[in-house]
Amino acid sequence: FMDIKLFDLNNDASLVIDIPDALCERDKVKFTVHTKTTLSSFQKPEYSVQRQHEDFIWLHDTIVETEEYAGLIIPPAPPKPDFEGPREKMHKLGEGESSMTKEEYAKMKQELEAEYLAVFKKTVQVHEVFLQRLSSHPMFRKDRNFQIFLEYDQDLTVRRKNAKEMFGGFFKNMVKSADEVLISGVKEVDEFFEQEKNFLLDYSSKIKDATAKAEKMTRSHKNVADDYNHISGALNNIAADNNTAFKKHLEKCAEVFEKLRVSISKVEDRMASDQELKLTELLRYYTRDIQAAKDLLYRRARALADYENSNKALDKARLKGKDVAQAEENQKQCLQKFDKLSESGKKELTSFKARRVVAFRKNLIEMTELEIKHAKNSVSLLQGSIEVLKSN
Amino acid sequence: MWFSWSPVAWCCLVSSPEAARLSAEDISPSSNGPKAEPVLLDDDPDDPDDLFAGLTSCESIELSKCYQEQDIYSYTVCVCVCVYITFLSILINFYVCVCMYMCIYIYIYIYIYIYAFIYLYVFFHIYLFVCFLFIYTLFYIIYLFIKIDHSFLCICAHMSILIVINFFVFLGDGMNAYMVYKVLTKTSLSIFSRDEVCVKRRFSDFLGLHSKLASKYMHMGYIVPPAPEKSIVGMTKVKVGKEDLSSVEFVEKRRSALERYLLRTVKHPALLKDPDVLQFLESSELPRAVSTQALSGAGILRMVNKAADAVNKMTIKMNESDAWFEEKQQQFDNLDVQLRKLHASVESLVCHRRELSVNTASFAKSAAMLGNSEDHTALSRALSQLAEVEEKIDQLHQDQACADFYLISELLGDYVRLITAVKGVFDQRMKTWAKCQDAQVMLQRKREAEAKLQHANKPDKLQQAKDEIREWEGKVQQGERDFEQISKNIRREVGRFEKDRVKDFRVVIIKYLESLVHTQQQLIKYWEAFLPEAKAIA
Repeated sequence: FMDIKLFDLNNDASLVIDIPDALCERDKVKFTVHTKTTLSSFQKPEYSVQRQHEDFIWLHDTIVETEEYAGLIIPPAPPKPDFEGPREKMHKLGEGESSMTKEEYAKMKQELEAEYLAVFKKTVQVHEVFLQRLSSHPMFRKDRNFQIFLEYDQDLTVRRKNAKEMFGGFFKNMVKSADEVLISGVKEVDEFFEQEKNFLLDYSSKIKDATAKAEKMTRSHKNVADDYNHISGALNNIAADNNTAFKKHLEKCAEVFEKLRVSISKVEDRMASDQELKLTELLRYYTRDIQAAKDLLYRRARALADYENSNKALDKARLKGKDVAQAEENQKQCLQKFDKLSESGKKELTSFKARRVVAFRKNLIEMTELEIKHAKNSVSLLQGSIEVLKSN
Repeated sequence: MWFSWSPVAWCCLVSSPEAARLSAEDISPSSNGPKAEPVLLDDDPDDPDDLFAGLTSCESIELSKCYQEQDIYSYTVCVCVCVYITFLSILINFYVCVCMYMCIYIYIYIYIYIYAFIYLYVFFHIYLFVCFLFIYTLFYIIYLFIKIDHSFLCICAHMSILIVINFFVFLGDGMNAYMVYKVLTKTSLSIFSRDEVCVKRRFSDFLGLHSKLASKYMHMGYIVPPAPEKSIVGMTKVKVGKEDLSSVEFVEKRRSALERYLLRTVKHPALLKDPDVLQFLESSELPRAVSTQALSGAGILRMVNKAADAVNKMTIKMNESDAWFEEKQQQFDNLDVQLRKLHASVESLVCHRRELSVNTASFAKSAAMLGNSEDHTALSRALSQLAEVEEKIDQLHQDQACADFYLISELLGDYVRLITAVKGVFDQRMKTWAKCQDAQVMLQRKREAEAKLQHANKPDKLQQAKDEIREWEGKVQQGERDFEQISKNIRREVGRFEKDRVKDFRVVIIKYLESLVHTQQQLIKYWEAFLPEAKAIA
């Protein structure tokens, strides 16, 4: 399997994280998080702990709720591992076991295992990238919760959100989106942020659309590859079944068709999954990342609104003549917060753009090279088969 | 005439798919004396570099019969030229000798120059003879080359007939409208009255031809190729005048199916000589085959017969004496099942590939929009390029889907129907056997009746009984002869069918693989063009 990292984040040797192993038990996936560090804030130079997906979500949420990090783009949480596809197929395989020949069954089982493995690798990678982004950021790597996550050798037993908290979270999201609408109307003082806001709003809708379309495209491509599998299987059956005078000739044909199955269907499958990994995954990841950047802008806009409110409160207090000092204090704090957010926000957004361009470039190049390689492969195999068939 | 030596070019010229536009204004109101005005739809953009692109409509040279220049013609040309040169050479020879004679006369005494003259004469003749031998050989080599060239282009041809269906128009109006196809036959066979015939036929004419052939030949054991199926839904959509993609496709599907049907029919050596087939291909007026309509008297009779046949098949238990037939029957049953499965898979492939092309197109648009909103210029350009590449790929997928469909899916459909025809022939044999058995049973009964009458001593009825016995003996003999004949025919037909089948499949699969290779090579070209753009993102 190709190297599917979207980033090369482990350049800094002082804190190196990877997920070398993962166990899948029915619904839950247990990741083995392995840390190697030279930082003094850690008790041991090397750790290996077991974490579940919910632990990652907990880590993400605590970082989001930390006030200090309001001016930073928080790496998006990894999506839940989705084994729905392979599970459905396994179910279908189990049902259709009686109606298929032994070879067909073995072939389908092999395919199924390959697909399962692909999903597995993808989810491991996504979780790994999340941790690596946290570790490579100068502020996040010092976070106490992050340290606990990496060090604590017992089960984190993260308390599942109870009903009230879930509902609270849902409500908060609704308020946030309503706020977003209000805040996008707030006059923006800074040219840079005005541009960024417009760009991000536009870009996020477009990239969401592109991701959806890319997913549909990859799915149809996989269907086509599947069909080729069935077709070559059927051709095989026809060629193998004949016991006429053309037997020797047809045996050769059967060989060719078996090779064809490898060349056409496997190559198409590879093309589809590589396209998915490079293009679709890239788009998916950046959809989430852009959302995180938008969140940053939202927080800054919120701070700006607070600052303006505090200004108004100060004016009102000055008019009324009471609580002026308190209002002044409040205003100063709001201004400070806003300035801090603006400063770090600018830095973050610039580096985000650079990161995005680099990632797109790398993945587009890799995808193109892979497509070319597979197509060349397929051409040579097909031409070989054509030669064999013609020579008969 | 030189032009006809390149059948490929000729095929392309004639058979480029030009379809009629199905608009109401072009329909002529009267149904007799059809004023066919072929109006053109959007032509398929055939790749001009690919000589064989236009040949999908005549099902590739391998399946049709090529128009091969008669050996006699080219041979005649060579002989004529050689004879001409021989005469010319004799003339030259004569003049040269006279010259020599003159020269020698001047310089040598009479008795010597006679010898010299004879010597020179003989020498020149030998020299010229050798020259002409060389020239004859040259011409023979050229002639052989032409023959080989032909057989290189016509991979299977031994017959020389080519049928192309082309130029169809819509006549009549409303729900009574019908399609008229122009059937062009080009041939060099002597049984045809002309070299080139063009007739107009309706779809029901084709069905009529098939039913006539079936009634004549099926019971003898010949495998009559099945005609394309009626499709009420398809025709109605077309009649309503919708010019959308599906009705265009339907019309093209039907046209190519009819072409393949005719080609298969004339491939069969016995059917080719059949007067009905000849009349179909040649005569300008054909009596309307009314009996092919579903609701006519003949149609209902056909349905009743079909039901009766199905019942009979279940009740007749034939004890098969010939292992070959049993084996073949089993084989064809298996083949039927597998072909149907394969056909279903191929149809699903066509459907999915169309879906893929649609999705790729929508992704291309979305990527273009993304590229527009991207503010980093190099990345924006790269994304727009990606969108363009994906659009081209989508077109590629569409073309591949067409190839999938026309090459493989239609062929499989034809073969599924052909196998049904083959099974029908086997059933006919069973019916013949049943008839033979029935005749034997009757004969037995008559013999018993005769024996009884002999005891009862009724002389007049005895005579009648003896006559009946003779009659039934004759019938039994005829039945056995029929059975023998049909078994022999079936063996021959099945042998021919299998050979054709293997050849057809191999050819089509090779062609399909080549189209796949072409697609992949185009893919490589597009992606390689995109790569420097992607690398240029700073």
